[in-house]
Amino acid sequence: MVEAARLAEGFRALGPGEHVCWLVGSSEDYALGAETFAAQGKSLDERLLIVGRHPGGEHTRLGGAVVIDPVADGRLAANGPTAPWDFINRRINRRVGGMDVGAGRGGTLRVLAQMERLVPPGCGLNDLVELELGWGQWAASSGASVVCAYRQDAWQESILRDVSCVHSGQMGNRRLAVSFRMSYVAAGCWRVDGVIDFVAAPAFGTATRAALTRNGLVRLRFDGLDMIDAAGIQALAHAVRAVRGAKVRVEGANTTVRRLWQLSGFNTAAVAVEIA
Amino acid sequence: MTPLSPPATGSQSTGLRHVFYPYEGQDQYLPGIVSYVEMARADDATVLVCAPEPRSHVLRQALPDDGTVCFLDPTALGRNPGLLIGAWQDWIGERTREGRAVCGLSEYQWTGRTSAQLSEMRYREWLLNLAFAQAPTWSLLCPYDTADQSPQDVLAIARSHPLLWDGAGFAPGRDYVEGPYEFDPLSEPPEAVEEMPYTISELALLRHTVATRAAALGLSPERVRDFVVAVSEVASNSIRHGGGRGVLRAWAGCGYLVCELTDSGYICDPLAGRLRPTGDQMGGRGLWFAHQLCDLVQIRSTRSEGTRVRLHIELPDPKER
Repeated sequence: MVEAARLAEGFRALGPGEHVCWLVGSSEDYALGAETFAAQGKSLDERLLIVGRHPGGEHTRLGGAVVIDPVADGRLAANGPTAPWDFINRRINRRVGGMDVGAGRGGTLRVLAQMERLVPPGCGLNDLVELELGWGQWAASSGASVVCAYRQDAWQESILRDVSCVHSGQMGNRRLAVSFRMSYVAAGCWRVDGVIDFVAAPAFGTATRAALTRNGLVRLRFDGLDMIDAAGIQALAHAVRAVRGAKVRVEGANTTVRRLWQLSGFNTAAVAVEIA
Repeated sequence: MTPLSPPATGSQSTGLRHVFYPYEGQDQYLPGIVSYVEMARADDATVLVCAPEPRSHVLRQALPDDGTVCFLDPTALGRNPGLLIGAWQDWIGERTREGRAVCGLSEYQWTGRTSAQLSEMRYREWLLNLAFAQAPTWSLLCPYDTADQSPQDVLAIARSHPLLWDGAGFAPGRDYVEGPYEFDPLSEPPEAVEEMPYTISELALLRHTVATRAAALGLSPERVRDFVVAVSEVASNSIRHGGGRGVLRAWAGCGYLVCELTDSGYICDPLAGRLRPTGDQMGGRGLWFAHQLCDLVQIRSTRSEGTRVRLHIELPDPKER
């Protein structure tokens, strides 16, 4: 009951546009959380979408939640990891499009995504991060709140740590320390907060490359970035180089970040990064 | 001595002709410099002069103003000897790539320095030979006023210069020691030293500790950030290449905050962090950043004793805080 209460509090605290990573201890914990999520949504008269398995079996009632299960639909095995995002987009439009996504009539739409039903846990970090950037962008632009549930016994801890960086927050019993977060701000623009050191640099590089793959030109807001080190600078340069024709414009960087970029050897026309 | 272009040393066919010019007093100084510059101009070389004031002013008066002599801005070097190699890389780079001969003149302020700074300045002179061994040929004349210096101090500089200039011609540097370099021992830290072992788990705490200490000592937010990046880079090297752990010791004294990081790793390349990185270089920027962001970096590394890196940052005058 304590855990249910804690989860209920976590779900209740979710604001419109938030995109949160829920690190789930086990299948039982997920079932409990999904029921809590549904019960709370019902009591608050919110619209709910669960992307994943129907907790407790086919006949379990989940309030008024719409349940979309990519595995049951036979879509997960047949498609690459990016395809589920298109799939979800279409299904959201078809099944809940009429629900007027976002804060408006009938309350906020809340989404709970059981990630291993959406993406095979063995998939690469790049695809997963690209998918999460899609969720983050969709949440921020629609006003819906999204909880991405990752079962800790299904995913490698390093993957969970890295993917958690592209959420606006974490919930769950056993949270992982992350030093930076990259969150969607507006079309083609993400804010980067925290510290990017050699531990976080690979995740930052992956997230930046995924953003560039989606947008080509990306603005990164560094106003909340406390520190970036040589590995982080290199990750940024390599991400830009990896996507043909891509360009990054860094905004709000402090003097130290500017100086490091100038000193790095990447400050050339061959690396399409502009420190504005 | 023969008044010819600086000869190569040993089997060297390219690289730096690093020339020591010991002189005594102003009367001897200027004729020797003018003679060197005339020789360079006769060879159709570009002359680059890096000298602090008031020396720079004296040289501007004495040297020709016809575009063959360029005066460089030594303020870019600050007081950090670690910046010099990268600066000369930049200064000569474009000219030597164009195939033009370059004769440099590099004069430093040797007085008013701390013993740690002097020690690193002497080491930097030795490193110049390594740094430009594979570069296109150029020469660098280092004038040194012996008037107020002890014979030991003069010898300490001379051992880093393969060539000697006497004001009229070149000769092999008789005191030059090709290597290995004999380091001065690091000074003993004071008794009041803050000590903190670290692994990857304490990296964030280590940064926080250094930032708090630096801010409390009056450093500006910008300088605190610079210093924290430098410390973090060195600590990261301990974790990645130095056995996964290290020990930080920090103290303030003589106008500086010093952070010393020790680990069991070994830095085998004496030029690590000394040369400006290129865009296609994988890694190797951490120590370069540390040199650029601090006011002094001292590195001692041996296979048997591991690595000790001291990062110094100058504190603001307490009266101006």
